Amino acid sequence: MFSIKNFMARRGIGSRMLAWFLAISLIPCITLAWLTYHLSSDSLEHTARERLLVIAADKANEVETLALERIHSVTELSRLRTFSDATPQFAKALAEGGPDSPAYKTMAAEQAAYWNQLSEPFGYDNFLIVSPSGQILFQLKSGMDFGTNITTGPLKNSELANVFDRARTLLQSEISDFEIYPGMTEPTAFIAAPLLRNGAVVGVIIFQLSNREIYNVFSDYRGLGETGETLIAAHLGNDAVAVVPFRHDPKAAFHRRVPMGSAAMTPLQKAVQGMHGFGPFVDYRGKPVLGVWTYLPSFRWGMVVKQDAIEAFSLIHQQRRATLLLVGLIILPIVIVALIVARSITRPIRLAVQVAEKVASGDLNAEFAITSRDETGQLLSAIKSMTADLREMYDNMEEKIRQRTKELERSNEQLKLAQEAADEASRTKSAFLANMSHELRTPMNAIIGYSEMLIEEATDLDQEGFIPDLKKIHGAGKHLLSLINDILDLSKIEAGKMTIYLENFDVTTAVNEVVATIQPLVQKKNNTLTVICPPGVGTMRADLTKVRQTLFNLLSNASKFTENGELKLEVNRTAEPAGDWIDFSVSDTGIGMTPEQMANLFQAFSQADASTTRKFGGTGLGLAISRKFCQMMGGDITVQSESGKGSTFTARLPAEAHEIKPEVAAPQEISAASDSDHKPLVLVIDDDPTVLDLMERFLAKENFAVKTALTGQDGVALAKSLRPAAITLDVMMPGMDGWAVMRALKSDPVTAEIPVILVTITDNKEMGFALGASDYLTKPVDWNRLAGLLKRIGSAADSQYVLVVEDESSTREILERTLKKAGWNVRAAANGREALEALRAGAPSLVLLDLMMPEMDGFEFLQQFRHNEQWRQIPVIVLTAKDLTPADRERLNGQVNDILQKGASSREELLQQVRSQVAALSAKKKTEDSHGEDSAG
Amino acid sequence: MNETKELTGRRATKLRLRWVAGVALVIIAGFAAWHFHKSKRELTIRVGILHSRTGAMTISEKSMVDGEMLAIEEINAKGGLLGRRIEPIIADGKSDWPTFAKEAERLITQEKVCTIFGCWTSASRKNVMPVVERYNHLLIYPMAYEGLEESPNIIYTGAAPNQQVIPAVKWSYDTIGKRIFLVGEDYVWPHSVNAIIKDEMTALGAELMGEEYIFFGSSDVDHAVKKIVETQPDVILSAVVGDSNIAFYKALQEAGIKPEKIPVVSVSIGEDELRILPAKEMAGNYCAWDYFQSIARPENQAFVKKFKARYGKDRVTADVIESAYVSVLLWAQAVEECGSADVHNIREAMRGQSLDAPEGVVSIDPETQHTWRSFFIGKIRADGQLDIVWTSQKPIRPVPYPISRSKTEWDSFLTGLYTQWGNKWANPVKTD
Repeated sequence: MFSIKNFMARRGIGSRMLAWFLAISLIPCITLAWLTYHLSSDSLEHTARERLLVIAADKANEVETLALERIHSVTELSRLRTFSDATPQFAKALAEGGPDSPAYKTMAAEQAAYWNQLSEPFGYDNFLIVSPSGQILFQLKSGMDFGTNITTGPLKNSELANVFDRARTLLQSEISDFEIYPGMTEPTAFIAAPLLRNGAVVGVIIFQLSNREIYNVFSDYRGLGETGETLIAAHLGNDAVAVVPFRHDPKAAFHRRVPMGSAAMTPLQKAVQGMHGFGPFVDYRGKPVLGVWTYLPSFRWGMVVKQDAIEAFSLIHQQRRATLLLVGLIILPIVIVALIVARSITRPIRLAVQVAEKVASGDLNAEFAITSRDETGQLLSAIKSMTADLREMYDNMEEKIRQRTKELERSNEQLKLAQEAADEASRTKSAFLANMSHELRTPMNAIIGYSEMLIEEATDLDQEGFIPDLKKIHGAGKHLLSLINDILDLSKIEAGKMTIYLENFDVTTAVNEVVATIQPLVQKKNNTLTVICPPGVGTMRADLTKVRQTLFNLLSNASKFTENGELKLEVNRTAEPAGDWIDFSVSDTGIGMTPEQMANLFQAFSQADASTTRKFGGTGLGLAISRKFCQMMGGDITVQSESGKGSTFTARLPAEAHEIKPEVAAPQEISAASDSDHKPLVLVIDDDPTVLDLMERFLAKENFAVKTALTGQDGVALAKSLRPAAITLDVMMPGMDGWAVMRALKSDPVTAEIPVILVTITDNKEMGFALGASDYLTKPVDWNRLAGLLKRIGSAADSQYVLVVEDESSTREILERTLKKAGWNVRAAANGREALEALRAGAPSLVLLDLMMPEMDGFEFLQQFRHNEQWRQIPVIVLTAKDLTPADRERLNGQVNDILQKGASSREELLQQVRSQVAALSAKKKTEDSHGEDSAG
Repeated sequence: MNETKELTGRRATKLRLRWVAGVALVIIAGFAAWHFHKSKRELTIRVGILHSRTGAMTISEKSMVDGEMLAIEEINAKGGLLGRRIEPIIADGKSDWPTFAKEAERLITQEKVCTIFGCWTSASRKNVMPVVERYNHLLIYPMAYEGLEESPNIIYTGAAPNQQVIPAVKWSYDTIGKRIFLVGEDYVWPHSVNAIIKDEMTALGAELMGEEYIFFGSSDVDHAVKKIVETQPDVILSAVVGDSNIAFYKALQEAGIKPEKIPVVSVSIGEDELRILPAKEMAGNYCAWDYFQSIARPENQAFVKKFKARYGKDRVTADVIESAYVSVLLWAQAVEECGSADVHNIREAMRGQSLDAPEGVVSIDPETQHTWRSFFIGKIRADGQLDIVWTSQKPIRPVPYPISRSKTEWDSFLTGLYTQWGNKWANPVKTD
């Protein structure tokens, strides 16, 4: 749509002003002129019509009045006794002597003078007395031959006979229509009135009326201008016949005739038919006229009073010319004035625009003169001062910008340094944390292992004196290990690296295991432990290890701070709309806590009192860790306590836990993992470009972002920099192979958490075996558990040996010695390659395998080991000092019988745990034995 | 900061514009409402339709209402008059003459009609006349009547005596015979009619064989019929109205008075009455009117067609219906011509109006305010229609006061009747 708004917006102020000016002044002007013209032409038309109507009405009235007057006058004359008296006398004289008798003639001569006197003033041409039978008794003038009897003579069908009959039989004075009678040149009419004597008709008097008077009415053109005229027609036969001369056609009378009943009637025909009307039409001359038509009842005439339209509307035409001229004359000055005003306003504005444009293009020194003092002048001076200000500002600005830029650069540099430092610190911290587990636990392993062995050897050698000291070393080692584990746990939690591994387990079983483990600790302080665990508590889905650790921690705390008291563990399942909850309440009758103490209870590194640590031992981290664990599983730990009366700790967990990310601020490296374009990023490491291509296409189709690496080194580098959501890894690669890549990835804290999918296109099945592990053990190795396992696995293979693959000599040595002591044949290998060599001597009944080794690591070894058909059934126990990621565990799941939680706080606890696990293992073993041997592990 | 200021400024301008536009709209709406209110008040041209809707005259007058309504509907269908619709206010005279006066007053003062179309009987007209004269209003009276009246506030569109009664006498005298018996209902119209007839008879030299009156609305016709049988006239001129005719014609037949021998020329029954009367038995008798349905003019055929289309095939047109219909058309023409719905303007414009009616040209005589009408004698057919046996050839000038007596004489004649009947226009008691 064409928009006026757009049009106006596009045009300049000048043309807009001009347009508005014209619109505002011209529209009303033209409207007014138009309205005035129409109104006045309407009124002029109305006037013209009224004028014609009045003239027509006047004429009709005049004619009718004339007729009526004549009728009345004749009626009055008829009442004169003279007539009624004379009539029988005439009749008598006529009957006796005929019209030529002297009696009649004398009578006629006597009467003639008198009747002439009576009829002359009225303008009657003739006068008749007729007997009721129609016989003409007397005739004033003898110019016309009426015959002797009207009703029977030659005029019996004439208007005269008609009007006579009416007068005679209807007793009605009436005027006849105009008609041309024999011997006459002009049409004439008769007025008849009955003569009554004692109510009876004795005769009829008839007066002949000339047409002069009536024709004078019609030939009176007053008020009709130069073209107006009156047309009169009568209905004669089937024609409308003109009965008077027309102004423009003097010979029209009784010559002009139009047949009636034709489809389009002329106004004259309409009038003859009794219709009234007004309007413009085309007359007999073919000229447009304005006319009024009406009916004259006395003579049954139709009358049209008309005037040529040009004359009738001449005033309207004049007015139209005047209006147009006026409008034309007004428009011109308006346009000129509008142009002048528009220019006077736009000129300074245009100047201002030019100046502003100059300023905008950078010319701040533009000079101009201010000519007006109105708003536009103000605008110009404002622009002038603004330009000056701008100039000044501009000068200052550059200096300021320079300063600011320098400052900005400086702070940017500092920020960069700080960022680097922070990154470095973060990296260092992460690396430190990851290394800690390995680096701290490995020596602790040696300390605890050797001290234990020394204790046993001292017992064997009866060197009882060393035993207390060794036990102290052993105890201290254990304590230190538990401290380290706690600190590491807490660090991991706070770094957001603690993960939840959800599984379904039976609550009662878990509780019983924990109770069995804690029992020695309870008894040590002479406490009793009551367990209330209703059988209906059922199973729950949670991280079993963390639940266990939490319960263990709560119970050990309760034992720690209670002496000769009662401990109670109560387990409850409560149903809530959102799901079931499992409550573990541990209450004691110990020292209890004050509200202030409770406030700091769950703070890391804080105990009820600073002195508590000294008195009761422990790191003070247990509760904080346990609470974090519970929170991660969607639950919490609450406490109720009263100083001196004991405490109740309640761990409340959802029966169906969902992993809740700890609220710890996640380090940058995690969040950056794959969110760059909202698609999870997958890193594909493979040496075969076709495979890369295939993988890339396949994964892209599955809505993954894909990055590829052709070599292991590249892969590791990319993994570190990109931190993908997952890595697919080809195992067989030249240079740095898959296992090496895996090792590199898992050893780097930045990439350790990234799930790695091993891909080998050639032999999936073999690779699956390579990944399979029968079990794994964590370091420090739980010897009792190991022994239990070995006993179970190795019972059927006495003649064979156990292959120990371990790169760290101290651990290897301890394992060797322990196994030998248990009656096993042992062969040791420092890495995978050595192990494979050792295998050539004969198949072992069991392999103890460390995963992280130089030269050939555990994964690679496994791959090759499982590659060999005859070794496929040999159980492998994985030893690792590394924390396995959920992905690792998932990979190993199904291949292990159980997962043992490392970091039990004391040897007793660990042993307790191992005992119960071994019991479960052997029970399971028994049932599996009855089903077959293939899943021996 | 500057931008927000500019925005608020712009918003303020916008608001102000809206405010101005709102005020302008309210003013325009006010003007429109005022104009609409004003024009609504003048939206219709109100006219009164005053006839008996209940009582003895109901059936007769209903036809008149039908004729008037047909014309009104026709005009409204063509867009009304002066761009306004005609709104008929139908009032009920209840066949009771004082009620007519009361209703006329109500139509004028309360309903504010600009014209009343109404009345059938002379008695009702005589009661309404003082009302319309008092309010200088306008009654259009479409019924043939006895004449002897000229009110400046009444336009008489029905036949005057010289347009119906006198030609009927003339025709009877010319065609049937000189010995004439007069019979009529006992109220002002038949009495006046018979007075005129007697004058006419005197003038013509006819012989009055008897003059009998039947009490208004009565079926006691025996006395009159007995007289007729006794006198054995050539022709009976009847001004018996309404249901009395059933008894009258029946009694005539029973008395052996046959139309072939002694025909009845009625000036009161027409096609409409013949729908109810036993036309078969009345066939051969005559009626005198200014219109018959059987008039063979295309204008009439169109009118009959319209009437039947509107009111049903079984309905017939008659003089009163045509008069009523033409009255409205003449009035409408006057309204258009004077361009006003003011009663005074209309009355002025009515005078001299004419049109091509179904019967022929009708026109209003400006002097007498009566109407030029044509005259017909019809012979009753068995089907209730009439064969036209004689016509006046051309419209007859209305003469309300027959010249046989002067106006004063006629007026005193009427006053005599009025006082004789105890200031009533109908004889309140049986004369015999």
